Amino acid sequence: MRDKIDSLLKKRWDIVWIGAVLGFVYWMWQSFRDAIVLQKTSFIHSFLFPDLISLATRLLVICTFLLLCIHAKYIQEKVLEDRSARNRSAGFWAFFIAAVGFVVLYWIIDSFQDIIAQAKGDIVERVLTPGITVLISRGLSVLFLVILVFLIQYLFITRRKADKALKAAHNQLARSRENLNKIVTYDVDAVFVLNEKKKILFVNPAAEKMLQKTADQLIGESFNYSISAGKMHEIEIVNDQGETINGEVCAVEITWGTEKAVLVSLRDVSERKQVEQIRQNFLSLISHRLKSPIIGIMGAIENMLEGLAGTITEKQREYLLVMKENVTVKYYLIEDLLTALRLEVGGEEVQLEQTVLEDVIDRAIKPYEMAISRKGIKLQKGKTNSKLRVNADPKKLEKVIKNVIHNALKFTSEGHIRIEIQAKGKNALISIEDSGCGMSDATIKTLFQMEKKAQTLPDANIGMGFGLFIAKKFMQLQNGDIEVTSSLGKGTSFKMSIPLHTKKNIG
Amino acid sequence: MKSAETKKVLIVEDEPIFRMNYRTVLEEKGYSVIEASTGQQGLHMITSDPPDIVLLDLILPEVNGYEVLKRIRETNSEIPIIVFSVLSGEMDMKRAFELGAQDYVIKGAELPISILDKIEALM
Repeated sequence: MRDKIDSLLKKRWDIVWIGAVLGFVYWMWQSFRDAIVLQKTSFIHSFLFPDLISLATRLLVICTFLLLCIHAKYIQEKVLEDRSARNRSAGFWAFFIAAVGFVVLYWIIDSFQDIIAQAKGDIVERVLTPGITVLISRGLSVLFLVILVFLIQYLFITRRKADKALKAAHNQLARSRENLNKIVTYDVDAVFVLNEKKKILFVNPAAEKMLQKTADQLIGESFNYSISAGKMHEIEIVNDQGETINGEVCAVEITWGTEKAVLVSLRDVSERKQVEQIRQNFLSLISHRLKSPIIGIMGAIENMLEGLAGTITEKQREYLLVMKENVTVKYYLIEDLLTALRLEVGGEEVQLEQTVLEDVIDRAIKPYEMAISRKGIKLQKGKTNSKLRVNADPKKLEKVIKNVIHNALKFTSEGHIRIEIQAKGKNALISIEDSGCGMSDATIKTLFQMEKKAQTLPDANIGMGFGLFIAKKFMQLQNGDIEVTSSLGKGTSFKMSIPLHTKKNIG
Repeated sequence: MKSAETKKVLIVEDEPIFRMNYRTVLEEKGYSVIEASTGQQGLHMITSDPPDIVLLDLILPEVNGYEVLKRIRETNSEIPIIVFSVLSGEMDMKRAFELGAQDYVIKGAELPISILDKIEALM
């Protein structure tokens, strides 16, 4: 918009040149008048060598023309310098009065010319009743002038339009600036602009409130918190009142005026953090209170089975084994429930590291080997690549594979469970396939969802069925995923993908 | 294991069943076992009846396990301390080691009997 206005301003005609052209035309007209209307001499002769009186008249008129043009030009320049409406209107009226003055002056000059050149009556008579020929001649001359006035006026109108557009653009700009200002001013997030040396250049009121300092105090200070452009992370701030604020910070590189700067947006997440902390503490407490006695009982049973509490009979051993199995299932049930809850409230963290995939799979399979062979199922390890390294949380990945194997074992009564790993693009693919009873599409739909599990009564000897919900969440936390395909009566295939280890993605 | 006969183990643990489980395993191997059911009691016993090794739970009434660990280390930097807890978070372990624990056992992940190897390793 601004560019358009600027180019429009540059296109203005040069008024002095218009004046010169009109002066030339007037010269021609006067020559023509002398030759034909007044029948004094030939046109060419009058054009090149006008008589003294005609020359004087012409020069007088042309000089007045030029003066008028220069005046108009001057006004235009003034208007360009100062675009105030008052100035513009004053300029126009000055020009208009000058133009009217010129018309009157010309009329008198021409009347004098008539008297001097042709001795036709006195001046008053010539001014008031010039005669039809002279009237036409003067009328035409005045017409030139009117054209000039209109041309100049046209230029002023163009100017005015340009000014109007400019003003509108200015207003729009001011309005949008004002709106932006409002956003920054009333934004609940603290906004900082820092220079390359991390010195504060600008703060909004939210930033003043958060740090308990005024903008004057903050500007020029160093922003002593870690920021990295384009990445959101959490920081801890201690303000002057000694309050600790948990902030979520996001930075982006910008240009501030002409210098390179960083725009930092800081959100106070202290309250959210507190709630999260309370939830986590609560979960941790429940976890302790629920798991502790079960672990104690498991240990006691184990001690008795080891004979540490005296010799036991075969029947007692049988009882103890049933108790042990039962309590173990309950332990894992509670563990799964708590993990699922932690995943729901967002308190689960991952430690990604370089992990040999096959080692994790071996560790995951081991506890199930006996149960698999007892059921008469073949455990097949297909294509494996022992060197495949992934960027994973080994404990979480192991848990995912265990849960999938657990699921396969539960629903397979004969045939095989087949495990394969391979690299595909930037990911490692783990496939666990069974020849079990398969699942319906309806089951698959709710397989990885927690809320659906809670609607059905769980099988006390199997678990709450949170295993695959946990598997899905764990894979997502490790930047991977898990998918399932199944056909009823034929079997189920779980496919997990996880990023391969590269130097870049560690950490 | 002749030396074990004279070794005294202090179990600082609030839940009786754990005290019973570990006492059973330890006494079987000839250790003498003394018990404290709160952190305060544990701290008191360390000075009144000094043990050779301490098994310390983290979640305890009154004074928690971390605090007990800290206070023991303020006066006694020698005595081996094994922390045993249901807390399995990496932060918990890190904190326990930083405060001066020699070993960390996650209850439930290992059977009470496995504590023997750890104790022997520290004696």
